[in-house]
Amino acid sequence: MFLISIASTGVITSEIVLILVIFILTFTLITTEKLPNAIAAMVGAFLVVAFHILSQEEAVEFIDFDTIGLLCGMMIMVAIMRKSGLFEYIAIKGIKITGGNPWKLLVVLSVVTAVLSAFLDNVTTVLIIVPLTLAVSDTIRINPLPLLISEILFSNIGGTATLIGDPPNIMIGGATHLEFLDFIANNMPVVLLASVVTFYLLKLFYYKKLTRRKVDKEKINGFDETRAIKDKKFFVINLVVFSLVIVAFMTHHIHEISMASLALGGGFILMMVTRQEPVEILKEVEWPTLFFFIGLFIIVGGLEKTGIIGMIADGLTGFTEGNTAIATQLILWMSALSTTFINSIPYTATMISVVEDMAAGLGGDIDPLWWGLSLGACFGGNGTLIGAAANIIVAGFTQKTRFSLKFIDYMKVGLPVMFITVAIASLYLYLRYFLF
Amino acid sequence: MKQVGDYTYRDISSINENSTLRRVIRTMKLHRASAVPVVDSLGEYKGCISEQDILNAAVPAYMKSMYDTSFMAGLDQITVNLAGMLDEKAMNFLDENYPFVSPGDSMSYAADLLYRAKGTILPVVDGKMLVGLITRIDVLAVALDEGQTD
Repeated sequence: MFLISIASTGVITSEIVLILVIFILTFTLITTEKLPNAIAAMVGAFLVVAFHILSQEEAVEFIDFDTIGLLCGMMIMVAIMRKSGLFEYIAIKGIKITGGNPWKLLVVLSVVTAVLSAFLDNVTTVLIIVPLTLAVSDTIRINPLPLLISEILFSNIGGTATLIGDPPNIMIGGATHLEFLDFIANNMPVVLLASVVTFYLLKLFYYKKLTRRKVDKEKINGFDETRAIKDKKFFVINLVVFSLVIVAFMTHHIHEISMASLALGGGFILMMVTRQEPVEILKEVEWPTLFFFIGLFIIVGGLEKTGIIGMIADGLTGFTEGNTAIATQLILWMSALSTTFINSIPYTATMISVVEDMAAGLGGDIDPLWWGLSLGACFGGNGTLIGAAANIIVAGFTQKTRFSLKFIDYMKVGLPVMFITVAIASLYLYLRYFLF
Repeated sequence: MKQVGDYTYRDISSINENSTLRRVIRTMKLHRASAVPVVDSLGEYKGCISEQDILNAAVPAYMKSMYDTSFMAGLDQITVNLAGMLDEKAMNFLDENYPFVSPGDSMSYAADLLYRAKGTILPVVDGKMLVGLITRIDVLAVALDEGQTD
């Protein structure tokens, strides 16, 4: 569509051709996993600068510090908090509440996953929950796959609820005026509704399977959550500092300190009060992820400067005839279907620029477009095993075990859940923003 | 130069390549050894099996990815797993790259290898044939000999 509009305007410069080649090449390498994400994005970004599509100064300006700083700060805090045993404590407490009933286990572990992934990134959440799930399943001798599939679904659904829960939200938060509480106010109702419906679907799929066999319920008591906490004082300090940071996120409108500064400040203050060695903690920061984002911001910057983003935005605005309600639905479904198969991070990085450009054409309040992008890109990740980084990690965990999670087996559950939750989001956005 | 050959302990027990894991564990327990050398039917050295290799196979993958497993104190996954593996072939647990020395190597070279090795023994191999082994204490005891000559 936008290729036609480029052709019709007749301004195909060598820069446009170059940036399109770099963009498509990078995107293909990321999607096919031929190269690690960080390498693909940073080499692409280098080419953008090397071919003088952007100067170095322009490239740096396109890197959204709100996103990078927030991610980095959260990674530092999580690296310290993981040592406290807090997350294991919560999960084991939950496991014991179920008394070893497999269906209750699925529900409780999914809720814990959803809550943790609303405040931590999804990959960290599943790295904590999945080994515990496998340990419990192994102990009471049940097939862990229904639990794991449910955890994947809820890591993506839970992450949708807050600004810091999922990369698309972090990026949207960084790029717009939308704050922590705005995300909760707008996404939380859909997340709750989608959760209830997803549990209902999972019950249809798995309830009989899970409750058919007798399990060794008593063995659950072998888990001792108090042992997860090695150092009580350290545990309490972590809890207090993290809670303060979350409160600070929520009260941004009062103090107006940016989220990135709060996260980084919180991270280093936590490092100070818990007397951590910076070398050790900074090693835990996922530098490849941060460089992946940096590279993408620069490449998208190239698309923006050469006018390609503008053309896509004009194309979309034209297609929806300037109607914000239709544009919202288009962006929601387009995002969901795209991120089912491609990485939501480069997709969102590109679409943020597109939506910003569309704002001019549409006029009025374009917030619904942001919510469409957020809900679509987050829920879309549930469609297939390659839809989100956390999905791939969970599948990876199972490969060496007796129960390995297959692409098709996941899709049978993931795809219906994705379509139904996006349909709920679609209805919600229409009713909330456009009915009256 | 102190040579490995002068310190080699030759009365050793090795494992045949067709043995089971059960046999390996029994041998290691009997000799209080942290690793045993494995030989084929011609007596040629193939590699070593260490306690670490066996433990590594017995611990479930999910446990390895946890920071800490002490809250699973009442659980017996490792022993259950291990019990299920007792009749597997020893070769499945073999570490072909386990370090070894020749009789002509210096004791300080052996000391360096032992300092980095997962086991506390080093097989001594002459050509392809296993001739004995040296342990960490053999290396440490070199110092006693040094003391006597002074």
